[in-house]
Amino acid sequence: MFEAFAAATIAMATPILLAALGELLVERAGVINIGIEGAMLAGAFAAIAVAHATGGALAGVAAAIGAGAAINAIFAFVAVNLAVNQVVAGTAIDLLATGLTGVLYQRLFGATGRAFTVTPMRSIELGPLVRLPVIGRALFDQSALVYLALALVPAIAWIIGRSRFGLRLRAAGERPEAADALGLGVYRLRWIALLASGVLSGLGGAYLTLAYADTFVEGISAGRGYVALAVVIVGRWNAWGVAAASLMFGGAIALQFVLQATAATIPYQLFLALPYLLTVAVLALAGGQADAPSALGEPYVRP
Amino acid sequence: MLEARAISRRFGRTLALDRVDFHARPGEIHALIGENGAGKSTLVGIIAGRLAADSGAVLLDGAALRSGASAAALRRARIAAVYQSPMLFERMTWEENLALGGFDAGAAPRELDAVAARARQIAAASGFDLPPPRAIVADRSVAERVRLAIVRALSFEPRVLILDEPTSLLAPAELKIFLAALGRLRAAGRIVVLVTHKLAEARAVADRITVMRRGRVVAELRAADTGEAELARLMIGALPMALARRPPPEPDPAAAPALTLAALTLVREGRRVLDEISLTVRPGEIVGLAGVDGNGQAELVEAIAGAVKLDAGSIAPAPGGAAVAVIPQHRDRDGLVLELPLWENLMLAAPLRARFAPRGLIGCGAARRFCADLLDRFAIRAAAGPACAAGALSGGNRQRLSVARALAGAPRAIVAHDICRGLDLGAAAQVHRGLAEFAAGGGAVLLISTDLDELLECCGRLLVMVRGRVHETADRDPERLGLLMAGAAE
Repeated sequence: MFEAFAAATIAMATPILLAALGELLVERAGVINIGIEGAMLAGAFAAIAVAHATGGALAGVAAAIGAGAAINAIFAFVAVNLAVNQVVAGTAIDLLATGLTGVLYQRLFGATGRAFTVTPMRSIELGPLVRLPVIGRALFDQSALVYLALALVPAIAWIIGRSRFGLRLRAAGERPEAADALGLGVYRLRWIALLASGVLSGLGGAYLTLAYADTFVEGISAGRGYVALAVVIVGRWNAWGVAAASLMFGGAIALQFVLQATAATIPYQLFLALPYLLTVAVLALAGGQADAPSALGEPYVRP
Repeated sequence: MLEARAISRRFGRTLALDRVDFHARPGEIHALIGENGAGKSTLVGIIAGRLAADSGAVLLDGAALRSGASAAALRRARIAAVYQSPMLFERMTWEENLALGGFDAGAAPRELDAVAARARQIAAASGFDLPPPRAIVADRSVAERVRLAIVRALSFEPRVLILDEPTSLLAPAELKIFLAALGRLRAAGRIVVLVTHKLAEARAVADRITVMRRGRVVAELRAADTGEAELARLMIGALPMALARRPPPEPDPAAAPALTLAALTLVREGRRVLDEISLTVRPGEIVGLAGVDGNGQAELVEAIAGAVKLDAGSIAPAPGGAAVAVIPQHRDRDGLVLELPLWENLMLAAPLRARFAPRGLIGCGAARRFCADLLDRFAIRAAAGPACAAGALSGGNRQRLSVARALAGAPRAIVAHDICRGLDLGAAAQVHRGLAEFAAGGGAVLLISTDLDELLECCGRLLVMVRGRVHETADRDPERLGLLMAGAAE
């Protein structure tokens, strides 16, 4: 049972982690992107639609990357170049993605009533590591997207904390006018972060449809993008913290399956609400915004 | 050759620059002087690419720089600037701040150590000390930040170095070495543009001087051919009255104190930031409180304003009332709401609200008329009048507004912290005259400043603040006072 719980935790944490790592880059550059939910949804739909049409999961993943990046490019243009309020722009992106995927899904598959299924991405066993007790199957018998998400944690920690690009990114998030005065190109840095985040959100979406559900339903992202936003706050704007918080939320979702199976007398809706209740509770306890980038959420307009 | 041609720039309805031409030649130190609000900072902001010009062009060696469009192009052209308030990243270490400059490095420990090593060479040549390894900028003093900003600008090995009022925050000993370092840049054929309001400094250091007044260039002179009197006249249009010294006002010895502090103590993180401070200010006197920044002055002002909870001691009259008006050091952060119009900023003062909004509703018409009258009386230049946002005013005009607001509340005492930092002669003289008239009318003033000349000129009694303690001194010798401020008496 613990083995199943550990495997479910990793499976549930992966899409959140992918999206949250992207949002981390974006927020360190001073932008808050609520549209991340929309980017995930677009990625999820593009992945399964293309995989269904071509029969190849890899093509689906590529489509998800493109869809996520395209959605975020719209957001970047509106929120960075046009300096529109970021929360308003992000909300609009979410509504756009919900509407667009819904309409396209109806158009393509709704009329025939055909199930929208694909062959799931195969999991890759990492040799003898799989035989480790409890965590063996959970960590080392997963789809490539899981390995990618886990590998991205140290990589993004390094990029933000140590690399020249990361230093400039932080500068843009701390004091954009000063970064601009040094010729660091605030708009460019924010665009790069948003495109990277689009790619990662798209991958998170692809994971949902290609590796986890093997199908698409409207609104399949189910608030995971918003959870990713919370994860960045709980993780204190730090890649390792974001990884820990993602696992915590993944665990909460996995727990709901376990509890549903074992405590049948309690209404299952209660368990469904568990991850979201946890989000609210942890955010309330996580306290102030002391670690948040100073210029987070403020559009930058050149003087 | 650095050239600005017919530059114009408007902020809202204020024309900050009106077809300004400016030239600086390689191998010269060029001083740009003018009153606050004359347009100096706007001009250098445009030359350095931080601001966009509405019209006109900036040329370096005959090639036009796309003004404001591409800061990266300026980085390549090696124009570096140190702005009035240092453009640093407060929550990063100083090494990271420098890595973002001309060193162009990442933030890996090895790279930061290399940055620090090269920065120490530059700093040593300029006579500066740098903070200890991995210190966070937010924890360092204002003077240290200015030094960091200068070192970062020098790290670009700039062909054009622009310094916007950097010297007002350097200690005299540092200043000498720093000015010598500027001389070496000149010898290497660089262009140094020094924005200053200190006429003596401009004349002593610069080869040529450009004088600005109200958004226009009024003169370009060789430093050797001019004198301070001529420069002051060009800058202001007429000699300021304060240049004729007046004796500081005398208190009425019989009157009860207007402000009494008794054994104020404030402990922060185990340190006694305020250490049993007792002092009185009587009606009719201006008491000066001298001290190097960061010795507890800011906390003392917060205590008098009622913004912090004291660990011990008492203040009479109690903080928060109308009897004591406080003019804070950071006028833009603690004094004014820059987005609000001028007249609403006035209404933020409790005594004025009591007058114009006795029942909670502001009498807008009366408040606006009052504001217009105040702008007139204190010569505050605001193109759009009372409806103008405070942020659209120049620094000097904002400062005059803060002082005008404090005086308009008719308090018994005024506590003014560093109110002339960055103000030119004319503006400072007006501010001082306002305080002197207030004292002559029976008001009490506590003037807190790091500028000894200002205190010696304005104040009857002098106090020195060192490490949270206050001592009274009868000494008027600047050198010995400087030693007292540095804590030599302890």
